[in-house]
Amino acid sequence: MHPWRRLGRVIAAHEEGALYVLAALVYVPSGVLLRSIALNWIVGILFPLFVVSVVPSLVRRARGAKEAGA
Amino acid sequence: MSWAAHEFENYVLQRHAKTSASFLAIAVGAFGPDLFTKGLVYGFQLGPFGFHADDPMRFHRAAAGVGFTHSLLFGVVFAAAVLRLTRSRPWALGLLLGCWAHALTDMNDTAGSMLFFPLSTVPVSTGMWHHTASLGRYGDAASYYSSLGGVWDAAWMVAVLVFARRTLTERYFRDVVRPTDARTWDWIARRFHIDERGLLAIYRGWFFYGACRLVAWSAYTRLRTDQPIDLSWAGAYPIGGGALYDGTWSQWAVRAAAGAAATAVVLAGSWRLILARWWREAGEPDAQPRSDLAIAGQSVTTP
Repeated sequence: MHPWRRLGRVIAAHEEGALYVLAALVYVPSGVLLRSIALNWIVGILFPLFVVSVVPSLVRRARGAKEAGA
Repeated sequence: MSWAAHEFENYVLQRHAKTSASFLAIAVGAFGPDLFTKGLVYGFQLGPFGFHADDPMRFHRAAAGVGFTHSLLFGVVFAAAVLRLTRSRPWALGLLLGCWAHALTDMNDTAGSMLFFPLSTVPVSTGMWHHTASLGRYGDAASYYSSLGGVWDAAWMVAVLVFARRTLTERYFRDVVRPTDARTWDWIARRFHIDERGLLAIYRGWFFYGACRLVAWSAYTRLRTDQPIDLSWAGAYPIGGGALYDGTWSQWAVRAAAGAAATAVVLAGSWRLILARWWREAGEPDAQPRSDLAIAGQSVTTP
């Protein structure tokens, strides 16, 4: 199996964990560059909520609407 | 002052408190001493107006400023007021633990915490790293993460991962954290339409924020400042740093011992005269079965 496809399967099997890792990979560089804007307790504590829960549910809803439209 | 340690210690406290304290209350309590004062300590700009304390360290920790927020009695008064108003034992105990953890952690810088205020204004300090708030937020971060402060944060993160990693699991959140403070978590779920996965993300958010800001501020310090690493006790950063107490050791010991004894007497007296009655009147926390915790649009399975 192609390595990228294998990686995709691993990520799909551990979606929630992968999203936390993704959140950290986005948040840490943003914190280094933006500092106070990103590295404060409101953004910092709520960031995983958006990446792990809000964004996936919006994506699922958009996909559902698209499939219903088709 | 401490940085990410304030987020990590919440999980270690939760691990020991289990169902007797609300995690959210511990987290609010851990923010409590700095919640309304940190802005002035570092200073901030509002349009053309700048707001800042003339002497950030004294404002933050001394009796002339808001140093009372870092005392043991502040935590007791805060928790007692919440106990009386809400009659919630988990919230009162959580706030107390959070406030005390914050004050005890912050005593590791050179300014120290007035733990026994108002019975003694002598600061208690281990002097492990410098209080450098006068350098501003970025300067303080660079100083902190180049000294033993950064090691202190990392040690707390390791402590969570080694001794309290179970508190980060979905099962622990579902079986312990949420039932202990079911009303608040359910209110958050209903009010903001957040599902179980989202609530878990909020709960883990404190660890996420602590770990990420530990890495991000360390990276910022190494990549964007020329602050050298100095892991000696207190570090070699006298610029902007300093201590609040300049008396002799023996004077300090006498005043601290008197303050500790007087605080213990006041705490014991308050408990016997008022707090024990308020605690009894608050009653046992609601033992809400898991099956009742289902919220709009989702079901919760009993393990």
